Amino acid sequence: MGAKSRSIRRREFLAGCAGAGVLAGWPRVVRGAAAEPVKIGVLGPLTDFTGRDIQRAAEIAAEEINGAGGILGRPIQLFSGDSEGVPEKAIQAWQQLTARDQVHAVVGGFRSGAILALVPHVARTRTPFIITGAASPDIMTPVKEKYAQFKYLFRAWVNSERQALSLAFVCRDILKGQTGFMRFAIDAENLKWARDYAGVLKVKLKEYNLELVYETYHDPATTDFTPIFKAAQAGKAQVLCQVISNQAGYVIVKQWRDQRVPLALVGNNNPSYLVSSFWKDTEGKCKYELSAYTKAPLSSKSIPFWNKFEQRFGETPFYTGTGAYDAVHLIKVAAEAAKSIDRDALVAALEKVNYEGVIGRIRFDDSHEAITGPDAVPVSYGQWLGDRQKVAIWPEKFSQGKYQPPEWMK
Amino acid sequence: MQTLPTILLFGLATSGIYALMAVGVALIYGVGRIINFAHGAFYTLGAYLTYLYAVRFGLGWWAGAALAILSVAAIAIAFDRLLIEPIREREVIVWIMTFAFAFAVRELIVLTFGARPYSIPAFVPGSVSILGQAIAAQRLLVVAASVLALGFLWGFLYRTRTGKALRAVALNRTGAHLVGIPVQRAHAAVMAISAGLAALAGIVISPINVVTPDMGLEPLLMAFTIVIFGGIGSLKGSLLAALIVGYAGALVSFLWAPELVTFMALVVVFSVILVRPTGLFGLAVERA
Repeated sequence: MGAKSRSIRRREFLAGCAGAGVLAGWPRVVRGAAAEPVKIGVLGPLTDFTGRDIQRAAEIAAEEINGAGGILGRPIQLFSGDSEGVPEKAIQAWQQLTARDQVHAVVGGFRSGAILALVPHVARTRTPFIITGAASPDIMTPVKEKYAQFKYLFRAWVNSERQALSLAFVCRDILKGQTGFMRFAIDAENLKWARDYAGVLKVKLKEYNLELVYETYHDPATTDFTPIFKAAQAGKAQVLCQVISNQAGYVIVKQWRDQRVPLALVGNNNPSYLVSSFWKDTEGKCKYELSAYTKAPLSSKSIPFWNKFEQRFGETPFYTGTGAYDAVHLIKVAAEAAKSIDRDALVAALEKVNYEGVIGRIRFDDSHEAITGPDAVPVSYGQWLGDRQKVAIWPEKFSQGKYQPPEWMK
Repeated sequence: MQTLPTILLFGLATSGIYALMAVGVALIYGVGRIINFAHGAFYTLGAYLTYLYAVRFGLGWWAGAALAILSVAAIAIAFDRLLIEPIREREVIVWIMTFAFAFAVRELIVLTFGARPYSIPAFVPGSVSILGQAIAAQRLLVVAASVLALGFLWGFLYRTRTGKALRAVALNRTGAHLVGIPVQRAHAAVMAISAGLAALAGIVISPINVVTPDMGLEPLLMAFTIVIFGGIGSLKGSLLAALIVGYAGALVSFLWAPELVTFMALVVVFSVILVRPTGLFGLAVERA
């Protein structure tokens, strides 16, 4: 009984101290809040276009928000962390952003290997992280499994499995539906995200009664795709589905055109996302390639943002950038809904957002993945038909043209 | 068998690039006694400087390429005189220096150009049809450039006084010095020639591939494979080994799996080191 009494007295004492502390500190907190910036970390391989465009787009978003009064009356201040696309550097950059710069949230990220390595650090530091690049589904798996620890992870982009579903739809609706191609080959780089992607694509092709005649996983450093073309042709493939995230995307397109390879080239090719420069960098050899991501009116904000970005930097944004622009705005929307930049409050508000962004209408599912689809966040497909002319072909809702097979296949 | 002409031509083009690289590595070792890990940096620099001169200075691709080769040769001379010569006799330190130089070049490229890839257009655009197979004309240029450059090198080494002097240094440095051959200049000359060949390789292959800061790594690995296979320091061995490795790589790529080529190269290295450490034509053989 005596122990209980002491315990109650101690609790009362502690509560009293806390209350006094809060009251004593209150005026300072209120005054400080008006002056203190909302600190947002920008993470990515910053010397590469994949990370550079995260930085550029986040700057545009921060300027817009600051010009309109900031977040809850506080200006945004951006802090950069260079992940170099590798795990150890990503961890260093994360520690720098969270410990030294003490950011409230982080946007960006590219390369699944690097971001997977960050997942435990995100949980440990309890810092909301809106991923706009890395595509491996595994990154988000812990959100459902151990929600309390990993709820700080969000992805404002489409994971590789859902990207694969989009390519499967393109194969079914465009390549089979419009052109009659039935035999497919897959060439994916030998990286985790690409293997995940190819695994889903294989299943879906089968489901749609499309024949898979050849599949291979090339070393990301491959400099000659001729043997792959030959093997696909030997299997009588009509379409080569590529899953490439690095510079090999230039090489495959150039060699495909130089050799007039009688295969329709489609799929994910990250360099081909550089709408303003890919045509020039491949000397127009990308003509007829059909690949993901292009300038399309996915929402009322899409084209104005692309134009603004292009006017300012002379180049179109890489997809990590469009996502990062939306991610910074999402932080504002969530903070204002929560009326706080407290981390847990931000997470709770992000879970409820229904926001029209540049990449589409953003809502998160219970894995904190952006919901995908033509009425949510779609993966657009465009075909190269001229310089800066990557014509939107799919989804049909945003289509601006009809797919044309390569002239040497007609 | 539709693939046969493709394998023949691709094997030849690959062998040409390997030979341009490997002959340089062999020459530098033969004359200067240096295992040069910076050789891939010369290959990379060739491509980047071509881009710099052609695009940023507006000199055009052919002039840009020629100037890039000369620039790389000049950089190689400076590298040899300023960084290698003072430590030439300390073998391990020289290795570290060549490593450090390669890293420094890479970092400088990333700082100057960024890590993004660059593209160089084909010097000879279009395709030609050989036995019904469309082949990029640039690939034929790779073969022609390799054959011509190696032919000139052979003529220079075996037909000119300077070339013979370089070979004399390779055979016996002290003897060459005693008969009045300027050995230091021979070292610098060989470094310049070898770097120029590596730059040429980087330049002619770039339109088919892409220009990145790490583009020199794989050719460097293959060059060392070939030099070990051919016999360290042997030019004839390097040429023969380049042909064998180039065609073996083409056969593995086309008939088996392209991703196994580097693995195959490493198997060659391990096998040769264990079974016949002098390679096909080791220095001991060539000198005899």
